Amino acid sequence: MNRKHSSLIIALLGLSLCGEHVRAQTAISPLAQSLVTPSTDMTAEESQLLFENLLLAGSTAEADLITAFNSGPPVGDLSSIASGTATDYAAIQAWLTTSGTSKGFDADTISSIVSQTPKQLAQAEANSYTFRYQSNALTFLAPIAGPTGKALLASIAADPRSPFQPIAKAAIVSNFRNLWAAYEAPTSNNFGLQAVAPLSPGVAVNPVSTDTIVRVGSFVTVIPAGSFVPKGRDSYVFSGSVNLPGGGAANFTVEIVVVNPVPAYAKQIGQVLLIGVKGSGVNMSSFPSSVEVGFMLGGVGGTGTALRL
Amino acid sequence: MKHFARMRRLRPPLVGLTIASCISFLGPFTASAQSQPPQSITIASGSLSVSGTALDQGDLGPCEVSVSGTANAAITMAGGMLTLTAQLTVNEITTNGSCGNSVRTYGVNIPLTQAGNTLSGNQPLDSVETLSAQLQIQSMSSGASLFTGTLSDNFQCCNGNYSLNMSGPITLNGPPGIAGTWSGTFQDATYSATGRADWVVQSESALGAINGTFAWYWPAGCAPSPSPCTYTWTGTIDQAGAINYTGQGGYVYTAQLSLDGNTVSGNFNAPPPFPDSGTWTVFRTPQNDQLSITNSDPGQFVAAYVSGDLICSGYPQCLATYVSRQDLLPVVASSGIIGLNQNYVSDPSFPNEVVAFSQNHLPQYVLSNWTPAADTVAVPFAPPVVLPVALWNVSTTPMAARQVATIGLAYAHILYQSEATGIDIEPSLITGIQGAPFHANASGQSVVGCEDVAPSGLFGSYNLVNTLNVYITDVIADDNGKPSPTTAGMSCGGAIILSAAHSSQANRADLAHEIGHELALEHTGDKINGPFIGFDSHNLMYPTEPLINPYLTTGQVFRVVFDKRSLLNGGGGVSALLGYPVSLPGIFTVPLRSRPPTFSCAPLPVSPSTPPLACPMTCKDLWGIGPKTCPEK
Repeated sequence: MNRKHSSLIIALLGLSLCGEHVRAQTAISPLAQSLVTPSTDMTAEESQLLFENLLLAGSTAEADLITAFNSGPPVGDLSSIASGTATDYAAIQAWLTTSGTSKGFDADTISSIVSQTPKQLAQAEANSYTFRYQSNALTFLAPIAGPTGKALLASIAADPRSPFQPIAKAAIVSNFRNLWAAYEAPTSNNFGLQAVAPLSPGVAVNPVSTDTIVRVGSFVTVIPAGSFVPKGRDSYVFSGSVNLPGGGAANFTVEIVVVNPVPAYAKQIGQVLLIGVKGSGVNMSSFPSSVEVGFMLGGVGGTGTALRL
Repeated sequence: MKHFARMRRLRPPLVGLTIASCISFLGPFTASAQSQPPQSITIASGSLSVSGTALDQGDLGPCEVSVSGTANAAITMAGGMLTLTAQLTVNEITTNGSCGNSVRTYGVNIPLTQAGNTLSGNQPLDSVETLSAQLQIQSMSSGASLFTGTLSDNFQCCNGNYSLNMSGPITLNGPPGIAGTWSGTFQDATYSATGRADWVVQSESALGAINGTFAWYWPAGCAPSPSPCTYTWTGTIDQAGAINYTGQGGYVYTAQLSLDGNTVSGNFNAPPPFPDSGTWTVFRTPQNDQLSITNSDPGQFVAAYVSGDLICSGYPQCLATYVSRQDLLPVVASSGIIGLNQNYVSDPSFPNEVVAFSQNHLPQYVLSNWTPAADTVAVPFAPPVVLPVALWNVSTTPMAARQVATIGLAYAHILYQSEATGIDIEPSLITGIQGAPFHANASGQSVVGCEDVAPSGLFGSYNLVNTLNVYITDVIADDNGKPSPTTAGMSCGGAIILSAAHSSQANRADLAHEIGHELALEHTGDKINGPFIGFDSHNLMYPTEPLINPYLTTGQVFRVVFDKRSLLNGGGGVSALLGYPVSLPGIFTVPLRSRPPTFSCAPLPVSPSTPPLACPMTCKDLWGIGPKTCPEK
């Protein structure tokens, strides 16, 4: 049912679904596979690492995430769950049968569990795995989605029959509604960048209390929580040296101004972020006309293309 | 299933260890013991002399008794049993005359496992007499043949019943058993020089004939220079350990075996035209240490690691080298004894320890006072501890919540048992909290985070003390309070949140994973970089699913039990390290595990180091699971 639904969406988008579907089992990148594979849980550091890599991949990950949503997990994962967990469920059933009631578990629940075959229970786990895999694909798609990804998310969010509707809604809401950006690079190792990012109504960010991830071109850095200093009302500034991938360091100043909507319109209009980045020590010569940028503040973010002024 | 997996991966008892321990015991008794099968060996035969003063305990009649006796004994050993049969001739003299000589035959079957054991038997002799032997092997393992102990002879004499106790020493007059390699030093008085000596007794007959070699080394090489280093010799050793032999070059050696059988000291003299004299002392190649396991389940495997200074050949003339956490792979301690195949002495600076693991029991940490002798380290396993878990439903789907909780707890119970943690995870309360949905999302589901289960939070008043509280919600909120619809579980440090919503329903292993965090276990990798060194994606604490055949390494089990951060020790888990905002240390006001010690273990990943870290590397494993790439073997 999920695949039918996805296929319909993609078909509406005019993509070659069958081809995407067939290739999807093996074609997605290792990064995309890491992003969509369900986690038991995730530490803040692990979450940050994922978003760093996601922002760095930017639009190049979009197709893979759409494919992952469409096709679901690799067949090998599912067959592994189906075969590898059935013995575990058999042992759980055996223990519940002999000890469950005496341990205080209610008879109805025990009965409900032992009345299924271990394979059925394993299949339920595989189904849950599939759902979380596809949900992750949508969640990580949102911050980097281009027009295709945005259309997919919007159509799922609008479809009350889709089991992924809440996931798509949450993914959309949690990310920038848009990102407009432009930059200039007066010398080979200096640049200035300005971005505007409107948020969904009800979503608020606080640069002081959350980690902030900034991506400019091939460079991505995390500005840890507590690094931004309030500067006047609703304005926050970070200034410091950050390590560059491949060695070296750059001096960065990032200023974020949070523009709050007039209270009367807060239900219809969300915050707008004005983001300014100044950097020295970063060679921008390989970005003569545009550069991919991205921002993530406490799980709220987005990516886009900054045009050179 | 994990407990099946454990059974699958465990190996049969290491036959080599068993045989080796037999050999180390048998060695002293025969020159060629090491090359003979241990199943049936005649160790020695000879006469057993018994002398002593009889104590008249009956005192009912006129018999005042003095006793002397001699016996001929034959001693054989088969399959770890020593059979001692003897004919004892006793001359009993009373004030009223002699009761006469009596000849008694007795036999004792005694299990022999180690030096220092008390050998006992109680054999009826005839219709009126019984005799029991309490023999203490004083130095059997090191080769000398001295027994001490008592023989008790209860008999009827004259007109009454009398009890006679004859005390030792009881000496087996066989050869002491010195075959093997000995190393030490010589001091040459003629040349005012000192060097190293290797003394090898190649054979030793039942009558005490011995032969072998003596190798002399100056610091710069052979002594006398240039060669030969090695001189052959032949001679004798008597029952009292006196050694006399003659070697190449006309050297005459006299020496004495020490009472403990581990040292030979003497002198040497060479005749003219090249007179030479001096002294020499050599030490027996050390005996191996062993563990004495108690309270483990019969038939269950025991694995351990050992730290201490490993004795070198020729110790104490050479330095012992510290070895950290040498593996003792799984064996079944059917007799309770596990040989280590090594001899350790205590290191003055580093830990001298034994850490042992077995199913259904808490791992045991024992500080070892290693000595140059064959040490027996007692490892008494403790019963498992119960980790009580309260299951609170705060979701809008109580049926689903009950199923998630029941499957999760059942699996956690099975897994932690099969992984030899000694932790018995048990439900203590299964109930719901009225009022769902809490922090409802647009779909009307409960959205619950760690802030809600803190003492000051929404469910703070429902926290049970000395219990691991688990809350089953629809959707879990992340540490920013934002709904995280794909998160299955979260450890809060003293409490856990599980998801029961269809979209993120926790699977069978998720509760066990979160409990791992509460017990001081951190993730063993991340999604971008993959598993840390020494781990693979099947480990219980690897953050991604699917978890097929999840396992815990020995290093992880060590942390679960001994890490200060573990709930078992009153800690708050590792959630604070994971970045979650809430930690509830002290919720276990009474630590579940009361035995010391506890350690501050380094977080992942770490490398072996000198001096060794307080805890083994997290990936260290004794059970042969995982990718076997852990730097700490």
